[in-house]
Amino acid sequence: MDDELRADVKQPESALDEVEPGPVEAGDEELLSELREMFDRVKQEIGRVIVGQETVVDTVLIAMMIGGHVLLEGVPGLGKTLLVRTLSQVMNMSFSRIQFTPDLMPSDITGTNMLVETAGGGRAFQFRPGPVFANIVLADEINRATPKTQSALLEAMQEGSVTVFGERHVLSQPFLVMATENPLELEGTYPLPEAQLDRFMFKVNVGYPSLGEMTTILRRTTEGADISVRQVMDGPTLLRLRQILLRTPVSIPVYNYASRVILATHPESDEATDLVKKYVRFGVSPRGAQAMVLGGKVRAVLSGRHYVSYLDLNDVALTALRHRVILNYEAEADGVTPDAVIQNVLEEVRKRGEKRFGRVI
Amino acid sequence: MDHPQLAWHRQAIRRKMFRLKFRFRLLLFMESVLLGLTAVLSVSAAVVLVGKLVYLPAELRSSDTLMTAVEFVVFASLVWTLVRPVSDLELASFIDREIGQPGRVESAVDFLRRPDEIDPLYLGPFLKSTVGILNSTPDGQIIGIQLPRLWRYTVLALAILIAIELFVPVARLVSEDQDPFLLRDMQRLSRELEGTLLRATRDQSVSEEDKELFEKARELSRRMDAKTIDPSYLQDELLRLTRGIGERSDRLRSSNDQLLAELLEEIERLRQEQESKGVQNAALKRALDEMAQKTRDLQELAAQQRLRTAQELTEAVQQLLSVSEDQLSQEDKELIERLVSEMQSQLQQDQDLNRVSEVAERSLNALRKDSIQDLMYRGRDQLSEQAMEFLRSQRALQQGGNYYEPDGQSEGSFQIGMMEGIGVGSGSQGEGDPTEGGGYYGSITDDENGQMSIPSEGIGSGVGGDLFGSPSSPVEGYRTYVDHRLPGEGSELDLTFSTVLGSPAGGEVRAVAPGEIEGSFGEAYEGQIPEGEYPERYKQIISDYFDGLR
Repeated sequence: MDDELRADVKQPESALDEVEPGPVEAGDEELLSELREMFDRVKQEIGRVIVGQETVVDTVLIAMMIGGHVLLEGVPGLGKTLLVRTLSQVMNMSFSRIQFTPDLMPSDITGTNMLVETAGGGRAFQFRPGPVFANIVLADEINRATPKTQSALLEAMQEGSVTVFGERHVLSQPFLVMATENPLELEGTYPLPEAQLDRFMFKVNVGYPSLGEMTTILRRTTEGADISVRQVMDGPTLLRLRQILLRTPVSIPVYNYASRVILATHPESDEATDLVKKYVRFGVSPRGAQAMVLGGKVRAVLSGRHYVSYLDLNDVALTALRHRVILNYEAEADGVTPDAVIQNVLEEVRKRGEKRFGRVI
Repeated sequence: MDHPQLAWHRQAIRRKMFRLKFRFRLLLFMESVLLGLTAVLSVSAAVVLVGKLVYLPAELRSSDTLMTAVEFVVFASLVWTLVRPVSDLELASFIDREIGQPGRVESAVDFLRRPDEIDPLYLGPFLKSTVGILNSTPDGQIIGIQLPRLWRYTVLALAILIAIELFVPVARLVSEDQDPFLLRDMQRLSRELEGTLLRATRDQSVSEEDKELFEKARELSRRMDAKTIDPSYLQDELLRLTRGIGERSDRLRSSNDQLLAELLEEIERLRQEQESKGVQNAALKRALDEMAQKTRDLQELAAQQRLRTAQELTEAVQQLLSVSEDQLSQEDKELIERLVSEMQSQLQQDQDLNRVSEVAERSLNALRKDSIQDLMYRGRDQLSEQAMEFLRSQRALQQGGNYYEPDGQSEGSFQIGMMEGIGVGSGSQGEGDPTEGGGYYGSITDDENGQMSIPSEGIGSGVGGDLFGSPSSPVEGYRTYVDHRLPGEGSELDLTFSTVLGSPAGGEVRAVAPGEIEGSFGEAYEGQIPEGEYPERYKQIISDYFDGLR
């Protein structure tokens, strides 16, 4: 019965003690302990401009820290662009905004080679970087451009580089794409293809402000006050923090949990829930699990913990998975949303986890 | 993280988990017991509910079965709890939930298995904080020994069981006549009663008291052979012996009667229980009849045993008398003969009393049969008359007369054959008018006017009765006993006419010469009634009688 434990107790410690723990880089512990404080300072500075939207801000910051891209969905006028701009100012990183329109060309995003005169009087092609060459890129109303133009962001988002006329140009790090889309005006839009949606780590639904937040917004924006933000972090610090965050340990059971959640969204899987089998056409790709785990790591560290909990994964599950669940027509007819499907999956997986141990105590 | 720290943290976590694993198994045991009890109670409730609708075997309904199931559940839970594997990760997951930090101890267990893969930046602080939490939290606070939440379902199942038992009315959906379980249960109960009575009868017959009486008789014989006995002493001893026989007979009789009464009471209780359920159950009735039949058999067995014992005692005294004849004076011989006669009288009394018990049993059977089958046919008055007649006969016997004079008819002793199912009684010794039959309950009297009364249980004729027709009949001048019985439903009437007196009656007609019975106890008088000479009138009476029974 307790053989496993007794064997462990009697076992000499040599097997595990011989393992030499890896060296800790100087300053990492201090930086790790300061991470939460830095995160709070960034939030505080953003909060001076952006009223409310704490969940949106948190999600955007988490994605930025771990190196993911964010798709913001919301009606115009909710401060999406202002949020991204403010974030770039607080982080002291370059910022560019691309307003996506139907006639926007890929080269308008990536840049193009231009024929220029050389110093010797000759002429040569010189690469003129597009707006994608910035630390923070705001792709405003991304669904208004053609798929060809939208796909111009694919390589940049995934590889951190663009290829123009066969020449690969590496983007500067950190690189963060913030895309917005309007869920209302769908006429004349081109829904993002699944491949591109999958490149976004999180999809955030930006909602309306509350009464108090609205009042604060009115006071701040109609009284001519000059609101400026301070720079509290820079790109290199962010990159170093990202490395530390990536080393946050995750236990095998937590990895298994993430995997079970992802498999449960696949209608053809044995793990699929009844709701998934009925309403889901395509489930979540492995990138969804990656997004959950990476987001969970940041949340764990921000919570002051040195391990990733199931709750950390649950906290980021909706934003990490909702744009990766492709529903069928029946779901649309029945008004079932991806969020409802994901909530169902999380609940079912939790119950199965308890059943797995056979406990009802 | 250096090695000593890692080893210390690992040991601290394992020690804590070792203690918590014991508590975890205890909780598992409690949970499995409650789960099993809930299942048992639910099944019991279902069984009780089904038992209200259809008959279920007694072993399925008994509390012993329930207790056996409960014991099995507890034992199985204990075994399962001991042999069930509890992994460290499973226990860690449970601890995490209890301390409200999902994934903490579980991660610690996992990280300790592969510390080289974990960044030291995180591993050290993580293990330190985890050990701190575990050590600062008492075991009872992490895994408290409390009743699992499942107890609510257990109580609910118990409440449902009690509610069904108490408040759900019996509503048989399936006729019990078709129910094999019911019949089987009744047969089993009948067999148990039979076994009990057999043992009781056997125990009585071999009592120490019997041995003592026999031993005393032998001792007397030996002393008379040795001519060392004093006649006055012999008289005292014989008197004592006689009294012993009488007392023993009384006890045997009362014991036997009590046994019979208890059995009949039990049968009656069973019948009332079934009738209270509003079910006319032919299967049950057959089973009860079978039990009553068994009782009669046992009664007969007991009576035979008593008879045999008394005969042996009588023989012993007779032997005593014969052996010492030449050594005793005439006065002593007369005294001994008187004593022997008294013992025989006692023996006769035993037989008579025993037969009264049989009459009682038959009366009960008759009452029951009539009440069930043909109340309309026979009428309550006749039944009441039978009961009163029985009571009168019993009262007369209790008064010590040992004789019964039915309705002022002529005095006569009576004999009742031990019959299977239906007995016969008749006056045995009428000295008066031949038309005044000495028969009592169970006999047919035929007067000169040809009027007959038909008993419920037997047919017989009085002394000199012309039941068999004209005086020129071959049986003229004989007292006639007619025993009969129904072999079974739909069978032909089986009347076997033979004339062997004292043989086990099994459906014979016995013809005994008047005046031959008295003083000829133990002797046989044989006479033959030629077949084919039975008057048609007699056959009609028999036929009508059995039609009435049906």
